[in-house]
Amino acid sequence: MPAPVSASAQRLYSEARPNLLQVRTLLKGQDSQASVGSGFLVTDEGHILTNYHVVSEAALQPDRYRLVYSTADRREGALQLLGFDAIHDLAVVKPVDPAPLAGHVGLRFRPRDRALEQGERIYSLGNPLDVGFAVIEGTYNGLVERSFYPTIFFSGSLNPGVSGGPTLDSQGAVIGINVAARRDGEQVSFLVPAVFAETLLQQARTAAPLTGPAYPTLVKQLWAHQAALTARFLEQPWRQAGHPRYVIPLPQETFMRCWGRSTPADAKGLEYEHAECAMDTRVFVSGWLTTGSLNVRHEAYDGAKLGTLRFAQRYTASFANEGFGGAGDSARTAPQCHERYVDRNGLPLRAVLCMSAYKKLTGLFDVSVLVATVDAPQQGVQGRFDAQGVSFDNAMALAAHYLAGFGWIKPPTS
Amino acid sequence: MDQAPDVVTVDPILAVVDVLDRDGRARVTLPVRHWPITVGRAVTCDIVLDDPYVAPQHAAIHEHEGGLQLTVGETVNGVWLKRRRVAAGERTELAAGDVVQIGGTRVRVRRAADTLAAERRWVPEATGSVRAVLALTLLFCAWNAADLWIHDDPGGRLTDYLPVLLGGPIAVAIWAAFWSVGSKLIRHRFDFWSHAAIALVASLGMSVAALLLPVLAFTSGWSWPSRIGPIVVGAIAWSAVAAHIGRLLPGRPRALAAVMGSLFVVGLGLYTFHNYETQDRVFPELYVTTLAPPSLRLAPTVSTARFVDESRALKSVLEAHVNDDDRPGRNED
Repeated sequence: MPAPVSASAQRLYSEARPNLLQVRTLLKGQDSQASVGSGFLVTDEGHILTNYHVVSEAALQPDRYRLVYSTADRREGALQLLGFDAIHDLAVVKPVDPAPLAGHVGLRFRPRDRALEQGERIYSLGNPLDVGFAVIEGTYNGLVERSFYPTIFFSGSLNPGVSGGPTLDSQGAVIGINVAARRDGEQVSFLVPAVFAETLLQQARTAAPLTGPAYPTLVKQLWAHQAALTARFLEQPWRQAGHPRYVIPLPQETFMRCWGRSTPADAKGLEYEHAECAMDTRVFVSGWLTTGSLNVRHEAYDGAKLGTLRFAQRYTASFANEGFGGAGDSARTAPQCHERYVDRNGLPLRAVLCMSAYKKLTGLFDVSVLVATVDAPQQGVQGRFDAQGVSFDNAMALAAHYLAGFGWIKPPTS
Repeated sequence: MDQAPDVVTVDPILAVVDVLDRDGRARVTLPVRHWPITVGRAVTCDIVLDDPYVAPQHAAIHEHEGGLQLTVGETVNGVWLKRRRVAAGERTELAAGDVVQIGGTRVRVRRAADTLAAERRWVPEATGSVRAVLALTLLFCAWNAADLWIHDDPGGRLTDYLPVLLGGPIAVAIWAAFWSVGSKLIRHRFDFWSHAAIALVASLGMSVAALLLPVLAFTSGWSWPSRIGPIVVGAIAWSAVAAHIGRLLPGRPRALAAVMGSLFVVGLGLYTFHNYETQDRVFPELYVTTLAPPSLRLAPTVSTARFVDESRALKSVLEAHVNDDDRPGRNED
């Protein structure tokens, strides 16, 4: 007979409690908290693991924000940032004064060679919504499908504030770090596998505390991410969208997910089929900026019921209805575009390539390619490709790859 | 029975005093048969002005060394001549055609000896032909109905067109009536049909420009016709306003054109400067959005490689703005 679950959670919580912390970001000068997350001790020297997104404000704007911890027994102290991995959303911090936390050995990681079985009970710890420390029981459900980086699918409720807290197996070993949850479902939550935290800890363990803004390090990590993402995306062939007239580029669903819809069968006006493929993976940069993601979509239009003029009006309206963020902001420049008619083996396309440059993430760009076929008076396809946070050369390579995905199924005989 | 008529000797008219109305035309013209003449509210004056801001003996005008001289009498308000105040007791020369403001009344003295300006040729003013306005209205309604037809899916109801067919002309009529009231106030003529014609021509012109310029961009592959579209439409609208004002103030067409043209240029400058400041571009349009029927395309295509290669020019444009101090985005703190 297995022990009752509540007893197991109770035992794990009481064992882990001394190693559990709340990581708070305070506005310098007025000590009010800007955001809260969780963290946990992993060494006897006071190294604390949390999420990058929990400490991002202090990492990027150290002159405005500072980090403090508070323990379940209300001890508090200042934290310093030793290192972070924005791609996997992890950070290592350490108390400025290790004395109050001395004597804690830290939580141990589950050995890498011991895989978890789907359905195993796992226990997430943290301080949800700043209400108080809590243990949340849930189920290990393997890795998230079609994720660009391995992410654990945790069937349990993660709320804001538990980010950065540990998730333990029934022996109390860390298997992952709480990171995110889907808000459009229930109990669909995500953990960063512990292996990435172990790797980061090894790198950051003896590092000197970061003092200035973390942008140079962040750019280096984002640069590596976009290089890997672009390389993997470019080596994939396009799938076929199944259109009778046009070859339309549709990405493989290895790390993207596609959704489609179409007009009801009895529609009187313009008929269309819409498909959109997006990545779940996004790299959190700051509270208002995520990047490092790809998006591909298209609409195939049939205006046979409309006639040429009415079709042209709707086709134009759809082409005009695309946003690129008209004005610049503090993160990105205003977009600039290049437009031309492009030939794809006899298929004429209207192509628009728009880009903005990141201001603080030097050398990274957003690129969007807008395509409309202009060969037929009453039908056409409009497509859009977006890549965020890529190098200029990769932006060009991705744009060329996307445009090359268009063509005829069979050139019309004229 | 013959009777010799009474012989009355009448002094010859030396001059006339025109009392002007608010439009600058003579309301009353009074003959002057002797100098000096007195002007004031007192009934004993030669020129009696019924004006509470005029003193009983406000001024006297007499000949002096071949010209006219005005002497201001006992008055608190004095006399205004060419934006200059002439106080009680002071004297001033009057040139031919000078308008003197006495109290609230404007007065002009014309002497028989003054040379008259040459006769001006009468050009009959266009009053706006009702027939032309009706023809324009038909065209205007046809355009609006075609616009609705384009936006409507097949199988729409005919009564859907009623609001457009009635609403358009009503809107134009209200607009023209608004300007006509202005004409009535300033020029004492309602002038409805010419205002209606201006409004209809401008509206059709704006619609045609808004359609043809983007189509030209699609056909040619040039982006500029589409970029300048909103400015051309704005220029037509502004010209219409200038034309309406021209009907109200027909006196100085060149000055009006200069003022309205300058205002437009200043507005255009502010608009493009604002665009450049916020969007790093002179024209807000990012790309040509019009996709006309393919048979209208004349511009050639290029290869994907060339297109991407040309896009590389964006890099330097973007990098020139990475240090711009733009405002935080919507979700930023």
